Amino acid sequence: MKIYKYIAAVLCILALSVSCQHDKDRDTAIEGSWHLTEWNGESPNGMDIYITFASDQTFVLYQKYNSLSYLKFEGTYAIGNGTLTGTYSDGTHWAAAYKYSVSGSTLKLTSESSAETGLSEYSVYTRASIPESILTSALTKSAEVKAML
Amino acid sequence: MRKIYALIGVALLAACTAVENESPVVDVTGGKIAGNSSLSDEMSLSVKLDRAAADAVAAGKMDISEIFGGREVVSFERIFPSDARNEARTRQAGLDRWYLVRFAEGECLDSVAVAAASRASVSKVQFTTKAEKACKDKPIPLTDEDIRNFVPTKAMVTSDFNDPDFYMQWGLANNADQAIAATSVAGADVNIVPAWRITGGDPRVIVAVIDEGVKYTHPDLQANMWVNPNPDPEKNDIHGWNFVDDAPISWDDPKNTGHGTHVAGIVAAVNNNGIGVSSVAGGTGAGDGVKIMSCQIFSGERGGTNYIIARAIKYAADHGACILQCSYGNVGGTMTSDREYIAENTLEYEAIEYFRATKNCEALDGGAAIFAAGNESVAMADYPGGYADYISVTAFSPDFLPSYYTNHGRGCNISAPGGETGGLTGGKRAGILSTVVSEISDNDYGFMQGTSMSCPHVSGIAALGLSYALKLGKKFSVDEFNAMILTSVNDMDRYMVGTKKSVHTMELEDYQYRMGTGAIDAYRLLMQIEGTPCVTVSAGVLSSAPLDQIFGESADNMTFTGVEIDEASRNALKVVGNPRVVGGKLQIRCDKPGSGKVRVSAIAGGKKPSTPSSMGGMEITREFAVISRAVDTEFGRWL
Repeated sequence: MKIYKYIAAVLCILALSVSCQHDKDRDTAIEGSWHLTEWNGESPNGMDIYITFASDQTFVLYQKYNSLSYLKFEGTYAIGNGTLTGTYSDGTHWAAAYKYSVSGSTLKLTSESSAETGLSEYSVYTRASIPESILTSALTKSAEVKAML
Repeated sequence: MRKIYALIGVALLAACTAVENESPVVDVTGGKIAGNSSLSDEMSLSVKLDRAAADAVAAGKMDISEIFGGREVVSFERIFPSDARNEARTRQAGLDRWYLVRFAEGECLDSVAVAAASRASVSKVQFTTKAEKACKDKPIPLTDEDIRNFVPTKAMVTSDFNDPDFYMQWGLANNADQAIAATSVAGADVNIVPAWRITGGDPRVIVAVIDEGVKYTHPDLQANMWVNPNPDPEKNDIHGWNFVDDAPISWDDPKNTGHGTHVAGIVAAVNNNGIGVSSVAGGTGAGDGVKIMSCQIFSGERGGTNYIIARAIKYAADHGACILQCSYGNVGGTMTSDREYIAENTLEYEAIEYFRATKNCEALDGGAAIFAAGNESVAMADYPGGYADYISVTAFSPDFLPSYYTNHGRGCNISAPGGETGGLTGGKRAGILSTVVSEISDNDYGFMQGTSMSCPHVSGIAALGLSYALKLGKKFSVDEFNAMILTSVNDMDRYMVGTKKSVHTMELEDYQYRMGTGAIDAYRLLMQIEGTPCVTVSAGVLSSAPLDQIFGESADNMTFTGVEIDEASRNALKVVGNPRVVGGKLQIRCDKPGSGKVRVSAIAGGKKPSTPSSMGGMEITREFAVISRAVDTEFGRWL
């Protein structure tokens, strides 16, 4: 009997440990929908970006900046050591990892410096719901298709 | 050319027996005489007085016949009648100074013109000229047999609307059905279906159809006819006016073709009403189509003179139209430069400029003038469409190739479906189906072909664009809007290889890069109106960014004339050197992530811009944002 109690205790500890580990890599503060409101210190000019980070660590990106229509991209994201990384559903990683911080209703993402140029950029997002018109009209494009029309 | 006509005038002056001698100065080389007497049988001249003389005549202090020194003036009248609501701007444009003077039969008009031109009080003497409908053929009716015998080879094209004949309107949606033509190409259309999901039109947008009278009682047009909120109590001009007869609109002259009604149906036949055809901007079935104003300049074989056209165009400006739909022109090749056009057709030119300067739509600071390129198969556009600031439309067929008749080359700006009712395997089905006059065609619908038909596709799409701009609260200048239209295109030059067999065999290389910027795309225009997309480049390196989202699918083959970047943008992006366009791509080095504005200029249609002495393309400028990214994203994705 003792051995069963012992095994049960070990399993509980393991389960709690896994759970704690999972919570450590999850930041509920980032979850929700965000709208790009500042880019490198300026108002976004010619671009409109929305992103939703879900609790299951998936994201949905709606963007209109180099295309005539809103485009929709999906994938998964991960958090570790204050850094946000992501992978599109086609397996392509985000172009950079981002340091992030959430303050009130704003989210700031700062890209890691480019290995080639040493340059970095930052974006400030504000919590916002995504307009229905964008949700319904956004086009889904695979990575193989030129992300234009 | 003006000198030539002036010299001809002098020669004719000598030939005429009744020679004027009372004028102290005979200024026949001063460019005062426009046109010549061979252009019309009418015993009339249009005369533009200087300000003092015009005011004196208007005040009854001067008899205009004095100018003609004893010649028998049968009648004279202001070409643009006084209208209290618009008189101030009419005076500002100088249009109140134009008079139509009629002379007795037997007078030598050339000598009269020379005598009048010698007067200091006369600014211009314009001979009467005559324009032609771009297509003179009668429609080929759509019959019940046509419908029964239509055996599609593909799933029938559909839209969200219930207009039963839509499947035959390949110009709106073409799925390469062989029943239209064995050589049909999917996408050889104006891509209207996705555009309609955004807007079907707006009744605040009024398109003036300068043409035969539009049959405003047509069941598929009636609801989209403009209704004059302030009709002239003496004229009762409800849906427009017949400037040929100075009478209410008519369409039943046996020598009419139904041309105006067909054109009107392409622009705004009522959509989603369960009958007949769909149209570009005919609404969604909720009373939201754009409106058609009928400005009748042809009645059978009569009409088409410059003063009739000028009156019609001014009426359109004064009564709320913001788009001038003109499927008429002077036969291709008769004028070959803008300077010559203005010199020969000063009156019409001034009326069009008046229209372009008149704001009638909140979304546009003036009016857009759109013309058929002409059907003579010559390598230049007809005038007025060939003029630098007016849009001239060529025609393509369901095979995405030039229609056998279309003018092309110099002065042509953009292409749209014009079809061919003969020459392709589908026969008339390869033409353009629209509304027609049953009194002429024994049917309400029929097929026609021509740049007369391609032109209203562009006018309709322009109207659709303004409808969406109104919805979004956006405003554009006429130049900006023209540039947006001319860059909302799909490439068709890729198909211009080898020969095309139709009514005659065409060497397609003769048409490559000569049909304008490309095939108009309604959806692209709406997206451009929603927001000009930006161009993304990588910071810290020399980038080469495609411009097809800004200048349309044919950007690779366009001629770019300049790149401008202001100091603020230059600093914001830390631009190194001067950006330029090479092979349709913007080459720029930005050493800082950020955004800035760049203005790029190009030639819309052809390789050279129009100059006063040489016909060419329209110079357009697009301003757009350049986004310099520190992260090198793939496939244009944000993260």
